[in-house]
Amino acid sequence: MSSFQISDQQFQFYADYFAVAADAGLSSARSLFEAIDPINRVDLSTFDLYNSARAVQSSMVTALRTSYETIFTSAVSLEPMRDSFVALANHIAEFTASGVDDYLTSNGLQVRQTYASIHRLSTGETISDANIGVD
Amino acid sequence: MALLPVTLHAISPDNVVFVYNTNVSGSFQVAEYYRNARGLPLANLIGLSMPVPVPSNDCETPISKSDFEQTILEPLRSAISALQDSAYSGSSEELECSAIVLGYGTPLSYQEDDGEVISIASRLHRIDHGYEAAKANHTFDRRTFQFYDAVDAQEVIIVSAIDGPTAEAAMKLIDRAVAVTNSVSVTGKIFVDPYGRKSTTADAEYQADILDFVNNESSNLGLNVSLTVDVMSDDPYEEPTFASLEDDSFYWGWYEPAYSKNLFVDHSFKRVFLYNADDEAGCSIHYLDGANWYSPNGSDPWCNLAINVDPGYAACAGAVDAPGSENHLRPRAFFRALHQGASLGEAFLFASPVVNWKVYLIGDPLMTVNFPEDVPTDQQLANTVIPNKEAIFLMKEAIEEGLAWGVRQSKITKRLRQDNVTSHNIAEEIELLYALAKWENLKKEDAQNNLYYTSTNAMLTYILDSTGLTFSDWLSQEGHKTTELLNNLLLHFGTGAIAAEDTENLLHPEGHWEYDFVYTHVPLTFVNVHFRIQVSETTSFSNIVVDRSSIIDIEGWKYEQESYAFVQMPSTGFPSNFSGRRVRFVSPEEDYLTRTDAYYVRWRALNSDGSPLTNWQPGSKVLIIKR
Repeated sequence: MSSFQISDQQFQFYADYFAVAADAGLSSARSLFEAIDPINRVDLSTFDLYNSARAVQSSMVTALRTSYETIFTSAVSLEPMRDSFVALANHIAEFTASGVDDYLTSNGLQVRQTYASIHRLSTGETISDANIGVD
Repeated sequence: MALLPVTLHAISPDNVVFVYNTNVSGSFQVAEYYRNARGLPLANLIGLSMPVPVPSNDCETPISKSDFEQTILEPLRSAISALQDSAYSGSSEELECSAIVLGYGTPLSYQEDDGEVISIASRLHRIDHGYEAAKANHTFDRRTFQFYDAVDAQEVIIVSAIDGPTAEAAMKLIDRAVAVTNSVSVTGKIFVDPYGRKSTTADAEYQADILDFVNNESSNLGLNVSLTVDVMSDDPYEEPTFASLEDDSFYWGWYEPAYSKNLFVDHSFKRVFLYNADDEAGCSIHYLDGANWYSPNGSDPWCNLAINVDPGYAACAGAVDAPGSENHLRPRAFFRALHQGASLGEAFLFASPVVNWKVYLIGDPLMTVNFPEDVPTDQQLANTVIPNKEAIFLMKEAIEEGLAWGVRQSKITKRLRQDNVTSHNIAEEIELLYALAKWENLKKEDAQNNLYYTSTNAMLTYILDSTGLTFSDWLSQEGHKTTELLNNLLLHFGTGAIAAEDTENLLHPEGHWEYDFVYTHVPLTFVNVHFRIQVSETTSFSNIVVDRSSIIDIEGWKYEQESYAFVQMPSTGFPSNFSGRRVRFVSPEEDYLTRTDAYYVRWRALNSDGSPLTNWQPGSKVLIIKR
């Protein structure tokens, strides 16, 4: 192995944290989505100020929905992360002359489902089920 | 104003059996009277050759255990079993016996082997089970209300007595119950005497329970409440009383075991239910001296008064012997059940801490009561709405959590870039650095703050528009705090941030966390439950960073005693009648975790001896340390 080739341990670090970073974006969007439900279910008679209670509720729900859609769009956008996934795949290919899936098989490594999904979307290469773990 | 009563409970007259004493004249007539009033099938009238009660000015002498078993328990079991076979022979459907009514002239009590005087009605709550003194009632005071159902019937049957000094008196109970059921609304007052004996902890707890009803539940019913005034005396047996009951529909008091009939002033309001928590209110209801039901000494047990005064009560409850203050009927559970549309029989059962004991119900178990006020929104069974302050709290928590996930993403992309730079692998750096720096730049904390500006700013406006308060003032008023991450965002945009001098009170300490879960008690038991929670960095729980059990230490353990209000869990554990409510673990300082790290949570319920009551339950979501 060339001294410039990424170590298995370092690859695993990148693969895990790529997935964790991507998941964090989606979790952020999910959390904000959960803010909509309580406002939709609010008992307007429990407002301390009654003026335009329905309008106040509606405005809040609209703001949360708009914000959620923005955050969700940002979370699922490939643009910020595609280059990193492609770069890591290229780096593996450069030194092993194989794709990431073969590299994983050869070295007994596993990646997370999130990594596998974004890797496929970014590079077109499918990661085998056997090379996908849970933790 | 509520509409005309609609039957909400699931107890049909088909599921009620009425037991009469074939040795007592008039007993069958009362059974027939009830059958006509409520539409029971003829086959549901069960005649048993029972001992004839001997009316007494004092408590009636209990029948022997052998007489009880041979003339009541066993024949009744057989009769109900035969009824089930004959009524539905050839059908897969089986008659569910939901309620037993003991008719006129039925013995009130029997004596157990250990000498305890047991109410026959209370024993029959568990007709299909063996005797177990003061058996904890699993249907008692379920804080997430549910009607009595077939599952409950496996453990406890509804039982009442429709009885009195004469057959006519018993029939009057039926008439009054039907009249109450058919009323658009009861309108009289609730008279409450919360102050009785003050000798024991159980006495103090019973007084507190009555006051809890007065303070937290009675106003929901729409009836006026009259209270006695506490006697501040060194004598633990001195207690206050009412001068008279006028315009009363309900009476709930305790201790003073007998009273004069002159207490009850004639009026036109329907008298619905009376309960006095004492040792002998129901022990001599057959008493009759010639034509007089009242005692020559001018003082009568409370159930005798309820049945015989004019106008009389439709129902009452009382003891045949001293039950102990911890086993008295509880008002909050009773009234809440009636308000929900439960039948009297259900309400009595739900308010009884124990069965197989001393207290029993007198009156029609099918009676329902319509109150002037509808059930409050937060108690409605199909309730989906929540109070505004809870909605704000949940929204705030969700925004804080979302922001924490966003900041976590910033930290991770930053770490990826830093790790690349420090890898000292030139090929790795050349290949990856540009891409990682781009990712980091697009997800840095300022970018996350920008994503959350719209929702956070809208939240501040919402709080102001719906409560008239700023975010800080709302936090102070409700006793809540927010996160430093959210406050940083507010500081970043220069709007609504916590003032520097308030940060200690209004910002959570770093690493603080809490976790909520809902415990549903499946076993048909009433027990105190403990919990254990584990937090791990991996889904396999291979490395556990927090492991806490409420048996070892109750610090941090809370439960939702009232809707949306959490209290410290007592050292005895979580009472299973709060099944369906939330349990919360709040991290003590030694369990604070790293901000924006994510963890997996699981919990399980424990028996009081520490053995597992449930399997590990996975947390509903990943725990992000947002504080």
